[in-house]
Amino acid sequence: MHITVPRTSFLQHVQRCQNIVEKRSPNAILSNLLLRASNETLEIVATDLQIGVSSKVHIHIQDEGEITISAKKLFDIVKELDVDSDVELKTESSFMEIKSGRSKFRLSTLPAIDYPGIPEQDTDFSIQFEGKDLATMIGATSFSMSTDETRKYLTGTLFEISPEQGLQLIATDGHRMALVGTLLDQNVEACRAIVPRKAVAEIKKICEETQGQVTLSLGKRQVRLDAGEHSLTSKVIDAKFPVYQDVIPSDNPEEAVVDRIRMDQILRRSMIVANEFTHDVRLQFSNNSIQVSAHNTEQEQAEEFVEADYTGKDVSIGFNGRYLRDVLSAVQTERVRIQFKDELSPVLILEDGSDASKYVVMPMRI
Amino acid sequence: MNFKPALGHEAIHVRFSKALEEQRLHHAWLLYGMKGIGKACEAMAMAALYLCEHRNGSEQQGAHACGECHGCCMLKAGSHPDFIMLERLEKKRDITVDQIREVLSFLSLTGMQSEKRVVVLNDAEMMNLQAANALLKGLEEPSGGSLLLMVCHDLMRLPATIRSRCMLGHCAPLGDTHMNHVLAGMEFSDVAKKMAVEIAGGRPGHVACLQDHKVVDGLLQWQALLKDVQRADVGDLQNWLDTHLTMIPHELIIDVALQEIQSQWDGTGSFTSRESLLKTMWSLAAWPKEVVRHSLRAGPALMALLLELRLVLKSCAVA
Repeated sequence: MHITVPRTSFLQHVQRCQNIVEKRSPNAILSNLLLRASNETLEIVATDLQIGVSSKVHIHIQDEGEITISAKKLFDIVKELDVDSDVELKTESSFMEIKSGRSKFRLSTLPAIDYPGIPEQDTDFSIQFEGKDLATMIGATSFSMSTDETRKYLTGTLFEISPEQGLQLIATDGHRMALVGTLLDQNVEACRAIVPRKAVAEIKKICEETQGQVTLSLGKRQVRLDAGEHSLTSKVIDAKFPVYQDVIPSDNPEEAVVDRIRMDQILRRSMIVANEFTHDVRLQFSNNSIQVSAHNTEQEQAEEFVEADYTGKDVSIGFNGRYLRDVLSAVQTERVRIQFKDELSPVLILEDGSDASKYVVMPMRI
Repeated sequence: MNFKPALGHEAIHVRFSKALEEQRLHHAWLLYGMKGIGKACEAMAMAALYLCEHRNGSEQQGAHACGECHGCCMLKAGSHPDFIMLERLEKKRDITVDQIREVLSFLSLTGMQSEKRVVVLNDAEMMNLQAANALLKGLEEPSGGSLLLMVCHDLMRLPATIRSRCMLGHCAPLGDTHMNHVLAGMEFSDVAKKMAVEIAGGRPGHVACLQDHKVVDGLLQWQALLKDVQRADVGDLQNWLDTHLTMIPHELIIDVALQEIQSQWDGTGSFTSRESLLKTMWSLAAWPKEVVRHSLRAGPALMALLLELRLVLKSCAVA
């Protein structure tokens, strides 16, 4: 392989890929990047055996070929090189020579055939979507993913595409659930995949960096995101996601509408004296106000009122304050609707004026 | 590393490859038999065959992995995304539930190259009860395409619930022809070769470390010390233990010791003294396992047994 690349774009692509690579892998080849030069394109591939990321740069190629090289060393070297000069990469038996201006490095390599690389696309259906919107949707749901490894199917986010609902992202940990949906302006087929936590975070990062549309493809054993020069492929969780539709309460008779930021501030203050493990706070709904109160084992207390549009009966519900705050920071609108039935039934939190995002929080017995 | 069926275990390999070919492969296989006879090699050969993209071989001998495709190359380099090998971590007494959870979490993800995923679980009997119970869940509800290959030296130490859910494959120690073939491939000095033949007992893995001349020298010294264990200087014994216990596999030390005791003892002694000698030899044979099982300090534990042996041998001589 013999290629010449502009330093700045090369650095960006190497940086994007090297984030994925495990820094302290017991196996040397897994801390490497795969460089593949063919058809006037340099493809940089990185993998941690669960997620694979590839980046493509159009360049001039003197000699085609493929090789793997230490991700960290390559990144550190390219980062320190002169900004304006081009970088020349050339393989020589089992070494790679990196030249730029007057600097010259020689790094050891490992053969490309031993590298896992990125599998071929094997997905059922793809949609085009605005990258920034997808990142926002992920941000509004990912906090609900479980960290309990014994219930693996909850440790990811369900990406579901259906002709009726469009694209929906659902995450739950058994105590709370977040659902964000958006309708699509294209014909779609029904498909779904549970994307693992790490892949969700990477998809979000790539979407945030991308200007314009991305392509999201879902399949039985992989999820794939193509965003301009970058693409990501990940394994998916091979399990059944719980029937989430049954969890969303549809007939909660009471509804309180409250200012989101004010409510969040009050919860933040009250939680200072709440139990530091359970974060339990009590919300007392009464005519046109909500009383937020918290106390802990040392008999310390906090109490505060917040105005709300509410005219129903008096109800007092206990919550994990963290769960409420997570929801309030995910919601975009100025005011939120809190729908409930009694002190132990699931509570539904919605944006004001839209039903696209639904957050279910289970109350706590206090 | 080649992925040919391990010598002496062809029958299991043929059974596996037939089942694979006829698409009726059981999801969990348990290979059991003595230590050092190539069970783990066979498990690797089976894993490679399962993951290989271009299998070859005949019907009688079973198919084997090509060793050249992308899958085989990744397996050799240890970078296959759909394969993990699990064994007891160094300085740990057993395989822990966290390790098993890692396996289950790996199996709950889909495969990257295809739907196939393989776990090789070495020293399966080292799992503690919690780990075994956690594994049981994975055994009862296997996800499509997953394959669990367990290797175990002591079948009865595994819970019956696990044994009953696996396809069992018994691996016997190697016969003389196979044994000579394997030993011929190793680089032994003359002394080492003689020693290897004496103590191998059909277990090539057991004597493979005799290729290192330091191990052979150590064992020769050990043999010399035990020639007259009743009168041997305790200081010398202690010195030997201090310098060699970390270098030489414990099983080899015991094999040489038992051989030496048997060759010395002429069968004299009262019934009780013979009984206690047998008991001491039994304790010696169990020492390597006890060290791991109860996290004992190997040196002092063996020294105590040697002192006991001296007393018993003396009482034999008096009687």
